[in-house]
Amino acid sequence: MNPLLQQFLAEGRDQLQQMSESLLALERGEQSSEHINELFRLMHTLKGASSLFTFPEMTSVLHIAEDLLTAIRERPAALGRDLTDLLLECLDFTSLLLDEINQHDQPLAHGEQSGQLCQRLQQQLQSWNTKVGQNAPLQTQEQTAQPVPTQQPATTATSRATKQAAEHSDQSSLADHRILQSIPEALRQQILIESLHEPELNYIVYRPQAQCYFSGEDPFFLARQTPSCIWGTASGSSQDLANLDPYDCQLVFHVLSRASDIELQQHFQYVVEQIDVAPIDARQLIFLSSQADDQPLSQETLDGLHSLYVSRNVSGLRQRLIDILGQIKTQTTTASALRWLQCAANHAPDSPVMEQTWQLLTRHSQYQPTQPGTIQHNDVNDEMMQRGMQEVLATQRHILELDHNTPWAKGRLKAAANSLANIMDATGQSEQKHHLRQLLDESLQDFNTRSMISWIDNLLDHPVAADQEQTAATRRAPITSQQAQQPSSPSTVSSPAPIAQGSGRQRTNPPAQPTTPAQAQVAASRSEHNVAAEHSGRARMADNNEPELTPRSDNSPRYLKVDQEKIDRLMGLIGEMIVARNRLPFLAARIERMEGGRGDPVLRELSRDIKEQHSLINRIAEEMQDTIMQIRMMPFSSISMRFPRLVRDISNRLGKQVRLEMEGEETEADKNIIEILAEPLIHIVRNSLDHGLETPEQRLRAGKPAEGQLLIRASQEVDRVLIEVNDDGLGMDPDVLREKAVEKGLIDSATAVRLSRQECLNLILLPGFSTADTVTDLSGRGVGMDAVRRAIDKVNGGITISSVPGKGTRIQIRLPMSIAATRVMMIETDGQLMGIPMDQVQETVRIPQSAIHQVRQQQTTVLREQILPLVALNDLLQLPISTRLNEDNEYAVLVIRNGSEPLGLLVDNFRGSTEVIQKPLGGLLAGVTAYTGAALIGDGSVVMILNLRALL
Amino acid sequence: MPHKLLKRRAVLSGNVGIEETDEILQWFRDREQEKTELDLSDCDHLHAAILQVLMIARPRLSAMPANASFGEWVGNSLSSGYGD
Repeated sequence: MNPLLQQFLAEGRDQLQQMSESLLALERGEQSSEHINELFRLMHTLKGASSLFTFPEMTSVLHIAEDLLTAIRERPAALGRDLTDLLLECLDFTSLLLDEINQHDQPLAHGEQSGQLCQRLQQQLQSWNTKVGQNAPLQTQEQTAQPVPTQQPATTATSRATKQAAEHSDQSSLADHRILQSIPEALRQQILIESLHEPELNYIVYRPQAQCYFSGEDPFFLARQTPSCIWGTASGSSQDLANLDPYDCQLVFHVLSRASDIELQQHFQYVVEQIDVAPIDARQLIFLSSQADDQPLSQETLDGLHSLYVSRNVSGLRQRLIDILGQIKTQTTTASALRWLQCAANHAPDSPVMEQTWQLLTRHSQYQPTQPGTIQHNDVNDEMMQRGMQEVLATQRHILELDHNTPWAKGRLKAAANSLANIMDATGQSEQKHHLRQLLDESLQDFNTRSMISWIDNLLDHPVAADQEQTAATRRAPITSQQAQQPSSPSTVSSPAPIAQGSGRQRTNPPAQPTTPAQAQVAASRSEHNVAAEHSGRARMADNNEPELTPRSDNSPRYLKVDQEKIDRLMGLIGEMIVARNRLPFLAARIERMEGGRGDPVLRELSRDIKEQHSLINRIAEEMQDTIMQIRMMPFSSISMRFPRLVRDISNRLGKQVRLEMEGEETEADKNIIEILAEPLIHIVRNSLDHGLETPEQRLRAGKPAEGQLLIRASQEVDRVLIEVNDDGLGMDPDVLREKAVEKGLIDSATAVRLSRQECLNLILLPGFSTADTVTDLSGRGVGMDAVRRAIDKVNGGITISSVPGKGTRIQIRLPMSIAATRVMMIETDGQLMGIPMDQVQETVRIPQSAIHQVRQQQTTVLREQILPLVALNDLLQLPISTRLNEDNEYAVLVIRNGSEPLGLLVDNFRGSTEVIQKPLGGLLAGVTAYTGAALIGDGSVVMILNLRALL
Repeated sequence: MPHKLLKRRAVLSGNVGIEETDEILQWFRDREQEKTELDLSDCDHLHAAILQVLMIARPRLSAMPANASFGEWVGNSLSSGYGD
């Protein structure tokens, strides 16, 4: 996927999210104008961006939605729920398309859906306009009662959208100078000629405010008085006389002026925000006046002109043009093209204008020079390349030979150098560019182009076998004069030029570089123009001493959007670095263990140095790890922002009134954690809305306010994130839950009786419980809770449920802030090292063998006057070995939390706790549930991390 | 009186200010279906509001003003007109 599209997708989603937030805020009646403006801006941006690609459905829907917003903007207070629904639907539709684009690079066809949406939007727009006209608040049109009678084809909407977009861009930017086309050709030619000596030319668009007459302004007068005005006109939007409000100024003034930017700013100083000034190059005025009928020139005539043009026989060309123009009708496009060429030949034969006008004619006439015995033009082969290159080089050489006593000489030199640089690129000789640049620098200083000319001669002449004549630098007749004598001689075609050999290597990849003198010139001058335009202010090329062969780097943006994979890779690397760091103490210990290690002062010092380095690396590595973790941190708001919409939609559907409150949205956690949290939270919120909160009537009967409350709160607890979902709804009755569980056969009735109230609540997390029927409000409360528990287990999180019947329910989720590094307790069993996540370990104790009792099949002991069931890890792992005792006949017991009950795990030995980076198991081991992953420890050995939940 | 509104021809002269707008607009409204002519030979300036009315009404310019640049402005505006 191309980067532009990727960015569009990422930004599009953000924009959709922000738009839906603004919409909801508007619906709540918060500071209307601010939100509506924001909404409008986002919609406009998104629509604009979508039209960069070909997603006509998206663009058309967004376009009409934007129209609707424009209307709403006038009276945001009247935005009703139905309209909000419709706009949200548009956002959803766009979101759907974005998803599809993400998957398939293209949206699938939704002609029907988009057509319907457009139509409904259109209806709303019309009804809005009429209602607003009558000054009545907007009511919903009977959109649901009106089945869409006929499909409005998406294409209709699209073409309309495109048209309006074009109009819009005309009003909002200077990019499109369509209005300049109404300048008569003669005037344009005059401006062009004058611009050869006086290059300053500005195009001003002045949009007076609609109410400007009331403050005594006369914008027409102001526009007419524009200093150094060359041409001007007014335009407006179409209206008819009958409905015209003459005091509502809809005029836009367009002015061409030779005044400088400063003069113009001064002139328009009181309305400076209403004008746009853009410098334009007079060459932009070179275009053909379109005429109805045309009188094309014959190939012969064009060949004749071509030979005159190529040979730079300006006087011949002038004479010939007068002849031809005398023979054809003046009102034809061809005549217009010829007049431009004539204008250039008469006034600027040596400037790029000449090439541009020549191109205008050849393109209009679709002219290809006749070449005996050559090649079709679409067949780019060696000879074409050679010839083209030679022609370009010869032209540049000719340009360099011209008189440099002109104001544009500097620009011309640079343009020529640019063309030459392009050729070097095209022929794979980019390394020559540096030399070229030096030559340009020299030439610019004293306008002595001799060195550049000889460099070109070298290229034109110097064969690959470098030991040939070195007289290239001496003066020789320019190639162009040879061509003049024999314009269509095959000899110029067949003589192999070294440049073509250079290009031979490149030929598999035909370069998109200029291949004719005219193109090269135009391209060069265009790039020159672009560069000039890039310079802030109005620094002209001639004032700029820096030759522009390479583009300048921009200011780098403050934010980077980085692919998550790169951060993950960084995370992985720092993990490995920490492991490598952990090896240092082992190394130091090994030195100390070496023969005489403790006694030998050298070895002891070496060991101490290593430890010192270790602490240094340790500090850096930890800081690095912290920083990388920080990068991965995301605020809780990144998932919580979808809740307002979710709550609104569900509560509207269920006919409940719910006030959503959110706290601690700035709480941060690792991206993975936050993302894992998203789904479970939606389940929980949905459950609260569906089963927890009552309808307004029920609530009033129960003596509660009609509006239910849902509180979602995120906070930080040391190294964990706590997410709480509170509702003040029905709550859950443990007894009912107990009965249900027995009914479903999840627990037997004997167990059920023993369950505490809290344990009863936890029943909703059982897998079977999630499929409970929803006959009563209570029984449905387990829907999806099993999925919630699984998701939270996956990241070693915990979930706590508390509920008071009639008062409400609270669900708390605790998650680690990061899953990158895990602190594990290292234990040893059957001679192997294993890790157990530290958060599951309650304590470690040594229990004498004598203190262990057998109660039925269960080994138990009494720890601080509480019975502690014991399980041997060897049994869990099905290792046929009994647990080892230490010298004092004691067992090593790891007390772990198993649900709410503690459990003693018998192991061979404890090996302390350490921080590891867990890697998930891959390949065949991926299916083994007994381990959550593996980690490398300092001495380079692999430690398996036990998954006690799966084992017990 | 800077203007004479005849049967088919509006003759505007001098500096036509915004206060004339209503009258001129009404004159054109009354002749919406008819061809009208505009004589600016003695006119030095039109207020923008009047220009806007003229651009919509699009009368034929039967006499250009003495001031050539003003004439060009009006001519350009009336021919590019509304709808651009």
